[in-house]
Amino acid sequence: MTTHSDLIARIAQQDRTALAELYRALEKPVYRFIQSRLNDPFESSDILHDVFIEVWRSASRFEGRSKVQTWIFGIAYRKVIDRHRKAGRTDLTDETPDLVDDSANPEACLAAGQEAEHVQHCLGTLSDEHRSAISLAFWQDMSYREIAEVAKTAEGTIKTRIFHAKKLLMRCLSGRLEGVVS
Amino acid sequence: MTLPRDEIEALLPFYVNGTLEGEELAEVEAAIDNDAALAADVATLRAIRTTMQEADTGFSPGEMGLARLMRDVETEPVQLQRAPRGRIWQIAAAVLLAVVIGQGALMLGQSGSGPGYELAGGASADLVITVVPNATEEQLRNALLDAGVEITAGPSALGLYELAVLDGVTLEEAIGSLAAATGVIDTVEQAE
Repeated sequence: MTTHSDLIARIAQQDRTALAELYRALEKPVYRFIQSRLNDPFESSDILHDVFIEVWRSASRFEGRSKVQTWIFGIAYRKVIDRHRKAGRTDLTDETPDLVDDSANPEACLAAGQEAEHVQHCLGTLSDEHRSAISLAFWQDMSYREIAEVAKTAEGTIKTRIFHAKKLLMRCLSGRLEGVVS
Repeated sequence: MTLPRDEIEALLPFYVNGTLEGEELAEVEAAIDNDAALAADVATLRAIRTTMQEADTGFSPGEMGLARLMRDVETEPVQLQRAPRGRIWQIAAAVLLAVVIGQGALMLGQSGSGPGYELAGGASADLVITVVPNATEEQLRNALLDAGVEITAGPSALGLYELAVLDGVTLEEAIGSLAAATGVIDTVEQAE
């Protein structure tokens, strides 16, 4: 079975078929990650394209110290930040709203139907960094160490982001439940 | 319990996605067994993860995106992909030489006695640039993207790149943008 590392080695030798194979393997998850942060399918398509162009250009410099998938998500992560900066987005810090409330039961909210809509809405209320951390943890099943590699930040920072993201997500889901009930 | 409760809570998503191991896993498992609130959090996080993974990913570029990628890779200048870092001084020397020769060529052009400098294979170029010696590939790429230009030839042995201005961008806009990238672009001139 061809591994992602094998494909990167071939891409470093200018093998276009290997690039196509890697694209087919990772296009959907990388696109979903980008789209979750931009919420613009056209821009997301452009960024996805730029990510794989960079893979093509940089494959010879990939040193194998991380998984290929982690490396590629890291490229996507930084390209979205660049795009946000160009667009003047300001919610790129770890600042956390001070509004945590665990009183309601978000699990019941998820059991009440319309789960995907609720979760998508609440993910959309998170900052980019919180949403990225949760997305990589739950879509890609990455460890906090891998997420730290993607975001090029400390593992403790990722734990902090996840901690706040989890609280805010649950609070949001609780609020949605209260809205449905009342 | 060694880990503080906040850290246990922060690790719950990684307990749910199965990436915890060793002592951390053991500590989180023990905490969940002894704390109903943590157990409820785990149930909620499992539901969120399942919902996210089952959600429709919607449109993705798919084969259309691949076709676009292959088209652009086809026209990608191989030299840019392969420039080893160790050659930076050779490139710097080439750029300096390019400036000297370029100035000489311009002087010849003014006197009407020579054709100026040329790049092999540079069809339909609008601009010719040289790059600051210590500029990175990423900086150069961003400068070119910002300016709305693409490389049509180069780098030559002298470090010259020929550029074409993309649709929707005027020559003046491209020159202005490249000239403003002072830490990346060394010289900008219109192609002959």
